[in-house]
Amino acid sequence: MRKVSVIGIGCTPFGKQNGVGIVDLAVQACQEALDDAHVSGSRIDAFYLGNFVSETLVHQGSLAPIVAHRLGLGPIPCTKVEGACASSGIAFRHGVLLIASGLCDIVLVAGVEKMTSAETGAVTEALASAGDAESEMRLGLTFPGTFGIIMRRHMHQFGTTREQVAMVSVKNRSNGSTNPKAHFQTPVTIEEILESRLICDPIRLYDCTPISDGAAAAVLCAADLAAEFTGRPVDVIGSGHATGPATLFEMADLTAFEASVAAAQHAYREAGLAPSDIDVAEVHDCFTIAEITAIEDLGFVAKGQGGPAVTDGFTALHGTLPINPSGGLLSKGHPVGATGLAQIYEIVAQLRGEAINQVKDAEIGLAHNLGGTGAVSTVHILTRR
Amino acid sequence: MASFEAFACGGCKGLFARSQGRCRRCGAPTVLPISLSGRGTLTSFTTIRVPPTVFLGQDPYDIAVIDLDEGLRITARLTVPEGREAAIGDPAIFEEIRPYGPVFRLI
Repeated sequence: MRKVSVIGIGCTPFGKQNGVGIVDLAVQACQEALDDAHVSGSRIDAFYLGNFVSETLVHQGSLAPIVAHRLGLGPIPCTKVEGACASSGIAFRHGVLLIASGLCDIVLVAGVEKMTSAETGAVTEALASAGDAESEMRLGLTFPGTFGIIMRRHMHQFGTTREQVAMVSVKNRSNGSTNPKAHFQTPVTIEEILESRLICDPIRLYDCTPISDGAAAAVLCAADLAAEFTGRPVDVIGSGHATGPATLFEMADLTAFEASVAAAQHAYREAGLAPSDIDVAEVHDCFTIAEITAIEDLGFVAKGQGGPAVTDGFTALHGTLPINPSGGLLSKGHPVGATGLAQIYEIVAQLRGEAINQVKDAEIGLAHNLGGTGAVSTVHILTRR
Repeated sequence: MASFEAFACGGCKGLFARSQGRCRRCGAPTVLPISLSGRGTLTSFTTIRVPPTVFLGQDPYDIAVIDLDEGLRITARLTVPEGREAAIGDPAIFEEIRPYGPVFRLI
């Protein structure tokens, strides 16, 4: 297998983008990534686009070829990848595989979602389609409800406190307050979180990510060709992609996602690294409690210790292992199909030493993307040269 | 008291909430219907206050993950009697199947 590098990244601002369509968003992020890589569209061998609900929310299928045509990529193979909120983590993974296998030299990968033009009820319903339609979603379960059940269980099983969970949002909103591309750029206090509206007990409004528009992209290249385009390539040294049950009742442990654990183990093994080797990570904080379960699933802390890790500063911007220095999904927003590549965008910026909230001497970074009720996860480990 | 209909593998005796051709645990071809007691305890639960559009008007409603006495884990709607408050570990009992799925009642 050949080694693979990231040579260019792009990301639109996340948030409510009136008058900017889904294709425009994707084109904007891709163009930025191509410019960053100093690669012309004619050099791209293949294109993968992660997207979850474009057919439902903006009635647009054929998304990958439409975006590729607008970019002038020529008659190359273009594929839309759907894996709920992990769609673009999977797109990235498949781009890596195409190059590693030797089939392609340069691949463009992107993720996009346009959500704010639809009513909130329609968005909730569309997102719920990532769950199991025949069982839990038929019952009327939602994703805030799913994570409400997980949060209550985590609190019961490990003594995790409501305040510890809320501190995830305090930390991430503080990190995101300096990120000009974040949907929410204002900090939030613990009181504001605990007094915000109950959505699905014990999940409150500020435990949730906002509904956002946005796109992110990366240009991937065979590592031995990277020097032709950039003096600062970032190498992909571990790529894990795993699945798990798509329902709560089929999870053996309601506080752990098997897919995240398996994807992480694969990525660590491939990279020859342990969790303690990671300098900075972007993890899938679709709800406050999801960051706590993620750092446990990824092995950064022992099982059940995710709550104290937030309050004792372990995951803080200047802590032992900064988690979500970009502000995470809680601050940046969660245009679901774009999220996985927005995480890659931040990790690459960190490893180049040019991030907004730069983690000092970051050499190895990790990105963790999760889709559905733990149905699918990708974990990528990257390093600077 | 209504029994709760589930499925059991003739090979490994594994229990499943829904029917399937082959047992996904041991691969045996004999997964057959079985009647369970319908008694269990709450593993966790939530109250849905912001429902998908199609469930508007039913809200708020409770959904629980319940571990049945026979060892099967299921997800169901939960009815909490007036004046009661649910807690993890509380017993619950199967009431009926509604168009959206099974309903259990806190006891």
